[in-house]
Amino acid sequence: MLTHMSMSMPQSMSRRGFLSKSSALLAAAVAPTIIPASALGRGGLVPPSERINMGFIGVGGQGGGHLLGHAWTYVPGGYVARKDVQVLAVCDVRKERRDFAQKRANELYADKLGKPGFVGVNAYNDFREVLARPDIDAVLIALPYHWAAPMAIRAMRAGKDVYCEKPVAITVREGREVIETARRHSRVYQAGMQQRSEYGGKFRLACEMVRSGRIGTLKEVFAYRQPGAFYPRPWTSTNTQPLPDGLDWDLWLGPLPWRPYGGETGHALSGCFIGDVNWAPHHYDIIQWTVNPDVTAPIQVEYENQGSSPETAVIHYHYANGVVVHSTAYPGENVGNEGGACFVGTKGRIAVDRNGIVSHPGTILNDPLRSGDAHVYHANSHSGNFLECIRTRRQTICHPETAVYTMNAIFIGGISMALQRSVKWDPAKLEFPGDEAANRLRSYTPRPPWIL
Amino acid sequence: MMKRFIKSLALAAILASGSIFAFAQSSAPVQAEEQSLLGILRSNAGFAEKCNACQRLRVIGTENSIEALSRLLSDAQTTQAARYALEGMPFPEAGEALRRALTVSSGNIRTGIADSLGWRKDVAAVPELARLLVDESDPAAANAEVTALGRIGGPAAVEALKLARAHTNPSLQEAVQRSLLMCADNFLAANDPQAAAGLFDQLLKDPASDPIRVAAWSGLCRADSGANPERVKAALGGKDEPLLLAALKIVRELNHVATWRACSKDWDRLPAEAQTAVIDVGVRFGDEFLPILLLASRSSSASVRQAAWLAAAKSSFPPIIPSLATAAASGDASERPLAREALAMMAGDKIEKAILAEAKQAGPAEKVELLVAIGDRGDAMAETLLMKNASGGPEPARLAALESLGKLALPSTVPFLLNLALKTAPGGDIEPILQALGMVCRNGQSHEKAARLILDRVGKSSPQDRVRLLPLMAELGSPEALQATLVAAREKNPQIVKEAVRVLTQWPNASAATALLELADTASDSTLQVLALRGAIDGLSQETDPEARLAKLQRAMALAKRPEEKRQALGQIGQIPTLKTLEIMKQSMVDPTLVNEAALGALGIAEKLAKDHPQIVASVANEVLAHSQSPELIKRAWTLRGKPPGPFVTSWLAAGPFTESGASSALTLFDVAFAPEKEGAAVSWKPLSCTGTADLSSLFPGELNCVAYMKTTVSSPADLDGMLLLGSDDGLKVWLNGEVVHRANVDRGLVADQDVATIHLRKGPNELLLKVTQGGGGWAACARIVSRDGSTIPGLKTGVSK
Repeated sequence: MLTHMSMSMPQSMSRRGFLSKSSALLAAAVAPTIIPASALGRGGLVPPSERINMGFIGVGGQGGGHLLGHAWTYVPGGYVARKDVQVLAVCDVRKERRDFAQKRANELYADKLGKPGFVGVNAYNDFREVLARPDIDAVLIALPYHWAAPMAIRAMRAGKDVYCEKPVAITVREGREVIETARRHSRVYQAGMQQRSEYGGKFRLACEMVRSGRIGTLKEVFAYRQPGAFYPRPWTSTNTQPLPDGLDWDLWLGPLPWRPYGGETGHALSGCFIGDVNWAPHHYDIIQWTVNPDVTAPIQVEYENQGSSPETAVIHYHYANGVVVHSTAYPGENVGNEGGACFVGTKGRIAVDRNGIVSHPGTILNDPLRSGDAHVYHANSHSGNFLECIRTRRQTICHPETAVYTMNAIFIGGISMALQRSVKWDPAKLEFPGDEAANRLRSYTPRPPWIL
Repeated sequence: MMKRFIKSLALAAILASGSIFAFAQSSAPVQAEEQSLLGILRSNAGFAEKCNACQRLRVIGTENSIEALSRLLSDAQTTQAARYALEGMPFPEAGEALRRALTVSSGNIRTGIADSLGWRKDVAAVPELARLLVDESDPAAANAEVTALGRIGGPAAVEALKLARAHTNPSLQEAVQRSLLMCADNFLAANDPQAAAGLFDQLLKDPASDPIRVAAWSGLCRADSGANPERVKAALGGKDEPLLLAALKIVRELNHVATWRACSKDWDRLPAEAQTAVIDVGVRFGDEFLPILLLASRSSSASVRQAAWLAAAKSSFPPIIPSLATAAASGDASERPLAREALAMMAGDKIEKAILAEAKQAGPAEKVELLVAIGDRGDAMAETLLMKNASGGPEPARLAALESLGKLALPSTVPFLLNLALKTAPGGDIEPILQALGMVCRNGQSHEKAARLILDRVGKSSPQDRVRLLPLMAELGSPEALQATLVAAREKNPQIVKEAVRVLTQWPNASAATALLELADTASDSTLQVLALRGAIDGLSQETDPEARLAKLQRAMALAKRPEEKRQALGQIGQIPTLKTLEIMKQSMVDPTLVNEAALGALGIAEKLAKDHPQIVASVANEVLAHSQSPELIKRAWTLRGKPPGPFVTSWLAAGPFTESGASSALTLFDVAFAPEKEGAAVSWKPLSCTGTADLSSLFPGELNCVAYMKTTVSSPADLDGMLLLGSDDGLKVWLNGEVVHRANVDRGLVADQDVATIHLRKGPNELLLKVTQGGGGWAACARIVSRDGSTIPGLKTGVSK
C-alpha cells in the first residue's frame, strides 16, 4: 500500500545526496581502508541524505544473505550493516521470507540508528510496488533464474540501478535486452560474479599473470565444468501438489509457461529450459576475463562425443586469438574445481580457484607483477564496487556486456551439447551464422502479461 | 486410445530418455519425427503433451507444421507453446499465421501474439497492430502492441506510435515513449542518426517520466555528437539531477574529445563528481590531460584527488610524480594506497628516470615511498640508488631500499648484499639483508646465478662469516648448498654447528634428512640431537620414495629417546598406508605415551586398506577400543567397524530464545548464563519431541543471535562410563548433573555425532542439559548415549519425566 509506504519511509532522501560524499567511500571499494566514524556522522553512519536507498527483490538464501549477511554474500553483516546504504524495501513471493527479512532488517536498523520501533523497511509481494517507489535508487535482485533478466530490465526501465545475481539471463535474447536497457537508460548494473573482486584477489592475480605472459603464450584453458544452456525439457507438467500458504505461485512462475504447483520452487524449475547456468558462470567469467578475446570475433564451439551420453561430452571453445578452452579438468590438477580454471601456456601453467592458486613451475608466482605488465580492473569488494559506481556512475567490474558475454559462452556451449554437434558463433551479431537449428535456441516466449 | 498412447511414448522417448540432446538427427528421421509430433497436435492429446510437441517443433518444425501450430494459438492452454514454435521459425508463413491469429484473438492471447510479431520484426504486422491499438481495451494487449511496434521499428511503426501517443489512455504513454526510444535506437543501429536524433529530441520535450527523459537525453548524445560539448557540459554543471547522473555516465562512454575539452575548460565551475568524470575520460587524451591532472592533484576534494591518482596509474606523466609521492606519504588514508599503486603502475621509460631523480631529492617520507615504488616497478636502473640507501642513512629508507633490492632480484646485487650482511656488526639487524638475499634466491630467473655467487662467497669466507650466511643455504636448497652446510655442521665451534643444524632443519626438501639423522645419532649435545631429529622427521615429509621414507622414519623412531619425537615420527608413518606400517602402529598402541598417535595412524591406514584387506578392520577397531581413551578415535573405530551407534534422545524439554540487548553474534552468548543455567530461576519449558534431530528453528521461528536450552533425564541402570554423541547447529554447551562435559562455541551446520564426550552416569536419574546457540539459518541439536564400544547400553532410558 503506497499510503503505508509514505508513512513509514525514513527521513527525506535526496537522490542527489549520495554523489557528494563519495570520497571516503571510494577507497573502501578499491583498498581496505578504515574510515574514521567521525567523518561519517552518527556512529560512523553516512548521513541519511547521502545513503543509497535500496530495495531487495528476492530474499531467500542469497538475497537474504546479502541483506542480513551470511555465507557466500561477501558483505559482513549484510547491506543493512553498511553505513552508506539504507534498505527501504524487501520483496518476495513467499510471505514468510519477506516477513522475516522485514522484521530482522527493522530490528537491526532500530539498534543501529538508535530508534526503537523502527519500521522503515517495508515488505512487498509484488515487485512492481517496489519499482514504483521514487525514493529507491537501486535494487538487489536474487531471484529464480527465469526472473533475473526480466526483473533487471524492468528495474532499469524504472530508473533503478541494479545488482543482479547470476545467472543474469537464461537466453541469448534476454542477455541482449539487459545490455540494451542498461545503455538506453544510463543505469549502473553489476552482475554477481564476485570472483573478480573477492577471494583475496587470487583470480585477478591469475588473470594478470597470464595476460602478462608469465606462462608464455596462452594456448589452452581447462574450465573444470561443462557449460549449460537453454534447451527443451518438457514445456509444462500436470503434477500437482498443495500450494504452501503464503506462496504467490503465479508470480513465482512469471514469464514461464504455466504449470500447477508441483512442489518445486528454488533456483529454477527442474530442467525447465535451463541447464547448468548457475555455477558455470563463475568458471567461464574468469576464463574469458583472462583469455581476453576480441569480443566481436567468432568462436568455434567443438563438440566431442565421449561415451554413450552427450551429457558426458566435452566442449572445446576455439577463440579467434588461438586459445582453446576445454570444459574438462586439467589432468592431475585439483586447483580449478571451485569456480576456477587452469591456464596452460608455452612456458608453464597457472591454476586458480576459490581455495588456492598454484603454478608450474612454482617460481612463476614468485615474480611480482611490474608496471609494464597487464593490469585489469581492480576492486577488492564486489558490493563496495557496486555502491561506489552508483555514486560515481563509473562502469562496474562486471557490467552487462561482460556478464552477458560470459552467459553467452555458456549458452553456446550448451546449445552445442543439445545439438550434439559443433557450432560457430558470431558474438557481434549474436547468431550462429547459417545454422537455423542453433539459432532457434536463442530465445523463448514469455507468458503474458510478462512480456519484456 | 492405443494410437495416442504410442504417440505419447514417442514423445516421452524424445523428451525424457531420448533426452534433451535429441537434435542431432539426419533429415529422414527428423521428417518422421515432425509427422509424429503433428499427429499429437491434431489428436485429442492433453495440453501438456501438445505443448511438449510444440517445444520440439520449435527446433525441427518446417513449413509443414505451421498450419497445425496455428490452430493451437487460440487455445489459452497451448497458445504460448504454439507461439514458441512459430516465433522461432524463419518462414514467412509463420508470420502470416501469427498475423491472422492476432486479428481474431483478444486478451492474453492477443498480447502474446503481438509480442511474438514484435520479436520477429514483422513489418507486415504494423498496419494491423496500429489498427488494433486505436481501440484496444485490454491494457496488457495495448502494451504488447505498442512494444511490438517499437521492436519492429521503421517510419510506419513510428507514425503508429505517434498516433497512439495522441489517442490512447494516458497510462500507456510511458510504454509508447519506450517504444519510440526503441525505434530511435533502431534508426541509430541502421546508421540514420538524423532520424534517431529527431525522435529523441521530440521525446525530450514531453517525457512521460524521468527514466524516459534520461534515455532520450542520452540517446540524443549518441545520435547528435556535434552538439554534445555544450549539452554534456551543461548537464554536468547544472542542477538537474537525473541528467547529471546520465551525463556522468555518458561522458565516460562517449570518449569524445571535443566534449571533454569543453568540460575541461569549465573545470572550476564543475562539481566534484563531474570533475572525477572529466579526469576518468581525460586520461585517454594524451598530453592534453596533464594540466587537468595537475589541477586535480591539488583539489581540496578527496574524491577528485583519488580520481587523479587512479588516472595517474594509467598515464605516463613525470610531472605528477612529486604529488604522488606526497599523497602516498602523507595523504588521506583513502588516497594513500591509490597513490602508491599509481607510483608502481605508471608506464613509460620517462617514469623510471623521473622517479629516480625525485627519490634523490625528496623529503624522507616521500623518499621511502619512491624507494618502495622502485621495487614494485622492478626498475633495474635504480640498482645504484637502492644500494646507496641500503648501505646506511635513515632506517625507513634503508629498509625500503633493501626490500626493493629483494624485489628486483638482480644477481648483480648479490655481492653487495653479501658484503653488507658481513659488515653488519654482530648483534646488528642482519635479518632484512638476508631476507633481500632470500628473495633473490627464490626468484625463478635469478636463482641459478645468485646461488653460484653465494656459494662461491661462502666457500671463501672465514668460519665466522660463513655462519652468518648459512641461512641462505636453506633458501638455495641445492646439493652444493647442503654440502656447504654439512661442512659447517662438522666444525668444532659449537655455535657454528648449532646454526648449521638449525639451517638443516629448515631445508626445503628431504635431502638433509639423512645427515640430520646422523647428527641425531652422533651429536654429543642432547639439545642438538633433539633438534636434528625433529628436523629430520619434518624433512622426511618431502621424501617421495615411500620405502626410503619409512626406513628413515623407523630409524628416527629408534633414535628417539622422548615420546614427543616418537609421536612426531608415528604421525608421518601413519601417512604411508601399508600392512607393515599398520603393524608398527598396532605395536606402538600398547605404549600409553604413544597410544593416541598410534591409534590415529592405525585407523587412517586401516580406512585406506579396508577395501583390499577387509580382514584387518575388526582387529584394528578392537585394538583402538582396547587402548585409546580419545572420544574422537573411539568414534572412528566404531565407524570403521561399521556398527551403528545406539538410538537418539527423542524426548526433550526446551526453553528459549534467550539473548542480550545488542548481541551481534551468537558466539558472544555462549558463556552468558541465562535462567536455565541458574539454580532456582523460573524457566518456561516446552515439550520438544523428535525422531533424532530436535529442530529449534520450528519451535522458535525467525530468531537470530540467541540461545535455547534443551534438557532431558537419563536413567542409568548402574554407575557406568559411556559416550555422549552430539550434533548441533550452531554451537553447543553440555552439562551432565550440573557439570560441563562438552563445549563447542562455533557457527556450523549439524552433522549427527560430530562431537563426542566421555561421560560418567550414576545409577538412577541423571540430568542432561544442552545450550544450543543460534547465529542464523538452521537451529537444531541431537544427542545419543552409547557404551564405550558404541553399542546400546542395556536398561538405559532417556526422556522427559512425566
